Amino acid sequence: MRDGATLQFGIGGVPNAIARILADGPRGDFGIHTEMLVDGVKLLHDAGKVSNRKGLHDGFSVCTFALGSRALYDWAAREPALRFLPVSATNLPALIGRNRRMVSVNAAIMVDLAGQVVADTVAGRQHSGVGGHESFVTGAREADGGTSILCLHATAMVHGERRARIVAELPPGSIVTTPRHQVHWVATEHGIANLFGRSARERAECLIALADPAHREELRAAARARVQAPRA
Amino acid sequence: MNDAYRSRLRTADEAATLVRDRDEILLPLAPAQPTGLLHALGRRERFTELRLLCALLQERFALLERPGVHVVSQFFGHVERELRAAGVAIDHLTSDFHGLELIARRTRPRVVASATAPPDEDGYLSFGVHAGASEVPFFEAARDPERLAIAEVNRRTAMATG
Repeated sequence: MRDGATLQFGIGGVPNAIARILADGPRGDFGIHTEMLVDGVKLLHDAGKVSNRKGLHDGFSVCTFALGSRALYDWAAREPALRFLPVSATNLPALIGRNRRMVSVNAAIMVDLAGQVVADTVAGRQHSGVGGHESFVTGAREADGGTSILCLHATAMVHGERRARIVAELPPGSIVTTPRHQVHWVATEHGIANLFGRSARERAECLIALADPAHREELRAAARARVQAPRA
Repeated sequence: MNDAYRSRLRTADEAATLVRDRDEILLPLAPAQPTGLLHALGRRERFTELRLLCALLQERFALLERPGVHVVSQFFGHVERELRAAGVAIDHLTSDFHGLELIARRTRPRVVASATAPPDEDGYLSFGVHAGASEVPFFEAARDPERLAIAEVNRRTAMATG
């Protein structure tokens, strides 16, 4: 995350936590162009980290709704450098892409080795919604110096069993939220990798390095079968 | 209170009578959902076919489980998941958030309802901390004599800039 980045934070604990980390960190001169206003954005403003020299809506943090604490709502109502705009003014990729160094930060539930992202369903059942996930990943890609970051835990506990969230193939019935070709950075507790401009084999290697160590060998075997198949 | 505001002022129960047995309502996300209106509608026993186009429901309104009510949520939160777990038929609108605004503008649900801040000294209301996918459809419904825009004045909704 560089100085001067324009930031978007999606729904979920991790994006909000990143905003909080940035508020305490050395970087600044940020802009805010986001779908959802979270408590972390208030902290960035409070810390003097927001200059909003973005190239679009300069001088104002823009969002389309707030979801957070009472303190966030009270602040949002009196903050003159904040604008609540219709979703068509915040979530259009073409508009998002006009922001300087746009960086979108969103959560994911599962990623396969091709880079396909599941972010709103669990085992094919609706868990949340698409929201601005794809819009901001796509829009950030279009911005000068822009990029997107998708955050997930490498594993999840399901009925007492630790299961991989970086998988060789999405389980049957899975629903893709954001397609593989839009994805840039993916982050887990094991690291962060940029899939942009990578080949299918390189993407798989990057993602295996982010997986839980216990699952990596199985993923390597699957990747060899899928993207390094011997020629006939 | 100016005359225009006074002439349009209704209680939540009076506003609920403006919704037909066969109707469609667009609702905003949780922070701006008109809870008084939704509770008032929930006091009606049944509907012929009431389609609620919504996202991220704020609470488990009785209305959601009334006969004839078809709940279509674009974004599931804990309320939608709880309803589904309880066996309530809750449907999902396959769309991104911007798509919800496009769908609302093209399908033109007859009723658009939102919580607002109390009027300022000039009579202007504010959608508070939510513009979302319902602000533009709200104004379109307000301008259309065939449609209905219901603003639920909520003293806890703050005036915000947009």
